[in-house]
Amino acid sequence: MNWIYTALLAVGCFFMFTATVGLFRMPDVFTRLHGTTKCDTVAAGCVLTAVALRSGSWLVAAKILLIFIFIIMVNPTSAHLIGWAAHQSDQQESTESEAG
Amino acid sequence: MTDIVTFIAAMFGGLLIFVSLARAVTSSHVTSKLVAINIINTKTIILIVLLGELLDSYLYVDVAMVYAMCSYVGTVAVLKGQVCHRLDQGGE
Repeated sequence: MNWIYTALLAVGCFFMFTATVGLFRMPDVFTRLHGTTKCDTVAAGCVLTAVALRSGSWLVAAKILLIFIFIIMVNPTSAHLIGWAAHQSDQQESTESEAG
Repeated sequence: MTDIVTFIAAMFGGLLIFVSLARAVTSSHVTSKLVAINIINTKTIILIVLLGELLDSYLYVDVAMVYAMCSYVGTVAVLKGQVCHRLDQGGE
């Protein structure tokens, strides 16, 4: 059990690190969103699963599962909103530069 | 042994939060800042859950749940307030 816990935490930390590297290395907003949201979901999934397995209580595991479901629902939604806003402002800037 | 592993993972997550914060401060556009703040929020949720495991108090799980909801509302509010306001001004 301890090895599973350690392995899940290690995978979670690795994906948190890759998300941060992606945040620095990617050239524009859309590619940064791609890197961060995918690794967010995997890292949060691994770490929350590790803690849920370790807790030994069904109630705590259910609450952690609720947090994970919430993260899975919310992260793509906010990423979609950020991508939409970036796309709209890009379009607006290109329209202004064409008009000016 | 597992406590040490949890502590190391929590410290690593905290370090990555500060690195992402540096990116949020140095990036120029609002949406770029929001991407960085989004990832800081998720890492903070992970850190709160790890803290609950470290302190053997699973009340922190409830705190993490409320934090997740607040962070989503915050992201949407900043987008609504900053970006959409600017788009409205540009459209006029």
